Amino acid sequence: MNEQILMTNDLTKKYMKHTSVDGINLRIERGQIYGFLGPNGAGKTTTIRMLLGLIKPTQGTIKIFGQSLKKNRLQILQRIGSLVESPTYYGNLTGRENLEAVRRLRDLPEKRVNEVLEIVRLTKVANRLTKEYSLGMKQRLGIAVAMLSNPDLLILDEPTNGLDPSGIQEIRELIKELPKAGMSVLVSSHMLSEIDQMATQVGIINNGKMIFQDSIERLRQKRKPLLKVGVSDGMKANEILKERKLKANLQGDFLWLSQTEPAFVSEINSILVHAGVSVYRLEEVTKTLEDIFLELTGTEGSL
Amino acid sequence: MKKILQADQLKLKRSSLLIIVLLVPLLILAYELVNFTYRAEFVEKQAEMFGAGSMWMFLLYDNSLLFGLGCPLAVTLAASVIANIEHQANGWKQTLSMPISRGKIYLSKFIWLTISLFLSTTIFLIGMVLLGKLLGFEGNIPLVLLMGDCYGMLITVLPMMAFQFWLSMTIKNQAFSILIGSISAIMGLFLAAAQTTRWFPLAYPIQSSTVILQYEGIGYNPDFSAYLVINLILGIILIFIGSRHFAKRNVQ
Repeated sequence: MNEQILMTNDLTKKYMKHTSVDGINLRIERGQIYGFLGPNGAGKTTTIRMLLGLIKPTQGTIKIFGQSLKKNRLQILQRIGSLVESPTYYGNLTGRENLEAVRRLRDLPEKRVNEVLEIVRLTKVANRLTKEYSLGMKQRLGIAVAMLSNPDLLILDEPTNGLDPSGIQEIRELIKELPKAGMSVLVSSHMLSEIDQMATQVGIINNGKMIFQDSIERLRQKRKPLLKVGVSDGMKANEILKERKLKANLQGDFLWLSQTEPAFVSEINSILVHAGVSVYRLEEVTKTLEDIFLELTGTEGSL
Repeated sequence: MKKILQADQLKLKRSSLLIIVLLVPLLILAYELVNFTYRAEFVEKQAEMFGAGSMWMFLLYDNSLLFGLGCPLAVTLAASVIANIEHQANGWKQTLSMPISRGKIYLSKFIWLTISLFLSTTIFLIGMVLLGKLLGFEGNIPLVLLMGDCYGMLITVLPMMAFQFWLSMTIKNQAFSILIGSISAIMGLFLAAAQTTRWFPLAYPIQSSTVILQYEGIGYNPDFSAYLVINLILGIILIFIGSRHFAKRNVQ
């Protein structure tokens, strides 16, 4: 089961002096949905372009399906379906013709065109020119193209861009179904909530560097709740707890403790009150994934 | 390769390529039609003065300049339309991440450029025959000369095709390649005028005719075969260099 399907070693891309991807080691195993997360301009798309052989890495190696991308590019691409950034569409062709062009290029059976049209729910508008499509429809067309060859590895760069909530939901459900057929998926996004809902594995990239790579559960564990205690005299309360070998973290007027079991909470309360410190707040605080993400990336505000 | 050609054929559907293919030969033929009807007297006098063997010869001589200017322009525009289909579709990243060698993708589109220009020159050929018949030119139809002018042109513009195609394929902004192509076509006109510079390949399309005006009058062009050989070789070299560069490029 633990077959490494994609592996990069020290993958680096430099443009002049600017390093946009810096020594990334991606690891994707068969059947995983790998969420590739990072703020805009972090190097996600550059990394994906390198994985597809569209641009050459400055340094480092890429191995996909156990083969070197540099040496066996065409054999590897045969088994990959991809959607990179803004969707590709030939506006002078209908949706069906767009798929047909790709079908001819890849020499696939004709019935696949109707199958993927059905999957992304474009059958109704298949005979309309794609220049009349909405952004969401174009995005679906892009996903259809990526899935046309029934690939072993699907690489989707921001696949839910421009989709409405119900479209996002649909695509998410679709992606979640894929590993059942033995497919592996690499999906990039700048939205954590999206990755959180479909990925099994997460890689977070910021400023070209990989700052976290593990299962989604591990990321969630970072979300363990904390106990926030509001007291009249923080310094004193901290001293009292220290004497009792309880580790607390004083931040402003609040003490932060890492346990939240009811018994523990009441014990803390009792200790502090008996020592003459008045307690006015006992609160369980859960960090959101957004907080963790911001903590990891060190960026505030918009991503 | 057949599959790639078929895919590219589909991508050209409803594009403006057909208009360009038709436009240049039809415009020149329309000009000749007007020339040979409204200015018939003057044309006949001129034909006599130049010692043209027949009106067919004069027609060939008369339109060689226009076609020599028009064909490079048709090349420029057709190359731009073919390449722009991918640029406009944001298609390079998709097409080049298919399991197909980049050289073949480049070549397939170049073949379509050749096919469209072949159509263009064939229309011109048929048009000239019809024009001559319509105006009742005397003598047999000099089919070999007519074909030489049409398909010979296809070979003499080959380097220009290779260069313009490469330019359009690699630079997204098509205004740039169209500007370069138009200037090249006009430069050819000037280069062809002087004895030494007329041996620049750029000047060949203007001179690429089976007949030419010499001191003795309109006669067969002695340099024609040299033009064909030089530009065929140069064209193939440029296609090769262009496709090699294209295959190594980073795709943004």
